[in-house]
Amino acid sequence: MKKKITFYLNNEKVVVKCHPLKTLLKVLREDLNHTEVKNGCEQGECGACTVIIEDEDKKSFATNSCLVAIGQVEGKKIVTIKGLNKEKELHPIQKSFIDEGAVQCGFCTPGLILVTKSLLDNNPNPTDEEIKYAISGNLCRCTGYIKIFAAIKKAIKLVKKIRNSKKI
Amino acid sequence: MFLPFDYQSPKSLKECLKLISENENAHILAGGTDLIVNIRSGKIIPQLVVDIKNISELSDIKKTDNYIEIGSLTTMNQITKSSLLKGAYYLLSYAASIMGCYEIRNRATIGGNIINASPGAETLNPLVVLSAKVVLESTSGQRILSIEEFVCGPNKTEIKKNELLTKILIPIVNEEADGVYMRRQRVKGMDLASVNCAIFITNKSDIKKRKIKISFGTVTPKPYRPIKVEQLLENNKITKNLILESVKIINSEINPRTTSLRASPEYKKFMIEYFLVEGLKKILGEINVN
Repeated sequence: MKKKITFYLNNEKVVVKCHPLKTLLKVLREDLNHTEVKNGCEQGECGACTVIIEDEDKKSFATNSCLVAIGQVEGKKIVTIKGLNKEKELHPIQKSFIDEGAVQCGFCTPGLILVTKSLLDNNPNPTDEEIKYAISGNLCRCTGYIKIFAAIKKAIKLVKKIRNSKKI
Repeated sequence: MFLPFDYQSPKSLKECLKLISENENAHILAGGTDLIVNIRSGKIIPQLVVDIKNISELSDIKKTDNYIEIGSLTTMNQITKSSLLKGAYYLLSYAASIMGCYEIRNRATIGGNIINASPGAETLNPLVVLSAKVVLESTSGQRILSIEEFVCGPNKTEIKKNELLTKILIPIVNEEADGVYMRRQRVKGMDLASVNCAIFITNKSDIKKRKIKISFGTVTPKPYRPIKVEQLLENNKITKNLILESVKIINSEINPRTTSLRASPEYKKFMIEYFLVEGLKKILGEINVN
């Protein structure tokens, strides 16, 4: 049983024909070649496959793409790490991760950056506890989280600076 | 993943109820955080999956005259943020806020947490002590059951094949009331509860009128209410001896399984006293148990 499903991937309309219960993760990686979305545990433990989903009422949230059936994203907007930078210019969160050396093997990085974006979109001034709480579903086996935490702290400042300069 | 089965996503409750009344082997898909994992591992091989996520009437929290009504599709993060679940009901939103991780809480629904009925399910103990009820709807009408009657054991509830869990009703408490939810887990980040407990007390400052409800998770197949202990603690001054007697009664009634991956029966029994003392302290203020 296959079905035509339309959604928006990084602001581009895409149409896929597949079983509606195939997971969003598999569709992104296998059918659409978006391998920047990583396949870790496939059961919602590791957070490597995190994407941002925006629904009709413009509410956006980060979630594990391995637990979302593709039929459930009909008409919705999906953002992967590729959708974050504008052409060659990196997103401030991406920049901070590089500057702070928060990337080692890089497998958890797309998920961590997207969950950080989702956190900062909803709460521009998170406390240390709120940061830890937000990234508790993303496992990193290289860094020990210290550098990731520093990168997020830096990103908060950078995002704020950019927002303020836009206001003027 | 092998996908031989059919998939439907009804847009209205009526359409959904008709669909599940006509198909005995339908599996309901809400947040998907349990079902998709179970299908992939082969634990569940469905013939038809009914995706209810598009039924918008099932995903909000509102206050009526007697109840706070929570739609079964309300996600854990919606419950965490709800302004209606503050004060005496805070224990439920706190339980929802520590379930899984941030990404999971954005998908996982309260209905799914109840139907899955894991012995350590985060929301079950708070719902039990809040005397919550579930509304089950089918094409032939609706039934209302208390959460204690509804949950029978791991993955087992009283729901019939043609029914859908649509709402959770939490009675509005007019008296002075307060509650607490506590859990133990192996790691600080994301984990399932090794053992958990909820306590809810109404009329806490009047020892004669005081009502206490207690529920423990993972010590029996379904949430366990020590009714004898509740009665013992209700109208008596809480002392060390009373707590010790309560622990004795509870330990004679429970039988935690030895095959649990997360905690041994001895550890769970050990935690009973800690939860009782800490929970009562949090609600009643300082009590002398030394």
